[in-house]
Amino acid sequence: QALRPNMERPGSPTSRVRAPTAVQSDPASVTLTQLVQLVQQGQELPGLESRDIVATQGEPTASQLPRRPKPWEAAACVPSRAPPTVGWRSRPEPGSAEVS
Amino acid sequence: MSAVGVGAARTLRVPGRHGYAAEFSPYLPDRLACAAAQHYGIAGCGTLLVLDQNESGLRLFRSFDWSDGLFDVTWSENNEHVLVTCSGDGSLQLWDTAKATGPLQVYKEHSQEVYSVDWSQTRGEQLVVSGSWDQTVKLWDPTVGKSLCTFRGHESVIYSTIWSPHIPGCFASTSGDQTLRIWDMKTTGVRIVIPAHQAEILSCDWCKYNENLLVTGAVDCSLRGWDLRNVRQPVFELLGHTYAIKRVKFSPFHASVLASCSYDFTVRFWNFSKPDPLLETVEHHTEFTCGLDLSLHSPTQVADCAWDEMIKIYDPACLTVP
Repeated sequence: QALRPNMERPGSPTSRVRAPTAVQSDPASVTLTQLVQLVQQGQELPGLESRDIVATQGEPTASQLPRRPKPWEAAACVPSRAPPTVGWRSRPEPGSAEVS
Repeated sequence: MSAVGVGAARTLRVPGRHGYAAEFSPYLPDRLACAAAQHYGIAGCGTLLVLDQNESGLRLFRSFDWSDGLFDVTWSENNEHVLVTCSGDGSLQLWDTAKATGPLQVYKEHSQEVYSVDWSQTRGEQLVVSGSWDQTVKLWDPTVGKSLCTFRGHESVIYSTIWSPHIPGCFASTSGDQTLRIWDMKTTGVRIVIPAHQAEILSCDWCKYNENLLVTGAVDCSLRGWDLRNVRQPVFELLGHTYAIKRVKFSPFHASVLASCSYDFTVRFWNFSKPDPLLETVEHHTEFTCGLDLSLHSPTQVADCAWDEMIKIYDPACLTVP
């Protein structure tokens, strides 16, 4: 099972100093700070659930509802509105794509 | 507890699951999907929650487990039963809410965590983009078992990928490399690279009433507006969040209204056209608030989810008072 302690990286939320909270009596509930400490100490995580799930390879249930127009599509029924363009000024930048 | 109206949030607690994304169904006004992970996404499994709201609150319609944390979810735009999620093990999953077990399909190509999925919004296309910590974006036709295309260029992990609601085949992405990038599926290359912040950019969204306008939300606590016709400087900057901004969404109903949620536990509502743009700060979570969506059916309704195990649907005062 992959551990992901670097989940803290966006904005380093776990670097925040917070007082330990114990408002929940549920033993499986550990705070984020407690959990990161357990991971860093290499300890077993409480209630860790392991699943082995595979695709059923089934077909989706047939749709019975029509597509609903988006609010902005309903509002855009003004004939004077310019069609979408891709005429941006900037040049294409480095970066590429490959067809798989 | 059963009161409905301004200020009365409908709430569901999901013990042992930490919410990452919330998305209203484009078909059913009262249906919400929530992608969640065990142990804050750091370890363990994940769950897709499908919820229905009624007068008395929020109830669970179905839940589907996956072997790793689920980080984002998107509804199909051509079948009210279908959704796609993405997960920490590098895979995407296709689910059917009419069936008790799933997923129907699993698409495993990314080599690291997949942090974003989005189903195309323009008519005539039914495609999904995914953004991953492996620094690539992949394009998928969910009826095909493998990706159609891989887009490279980002120099760090990708946090968000969002289709343009107006320009077919065009999507935006943001990354830890501090750039917002605009891609054109048809030319299979990046069109614009915008160094939008001096910090990791966790989220972006397109304005629904101006095809050239996007907003980015970053770890520097700021939201910035970008006009694709001139990207040298932002057209607006919104300050107020006190920790990283996790997600930002434009209103489906108001051209200049948007909402953002943050590691500061709050959801904030903004009108960038006003001199005092912060409309309202909602602080009803006790942990990082990661999922946020504005209803396509009600101009006032909002959903969010956080790492406090709570999912909420509510009508913030600023959207109910014109």
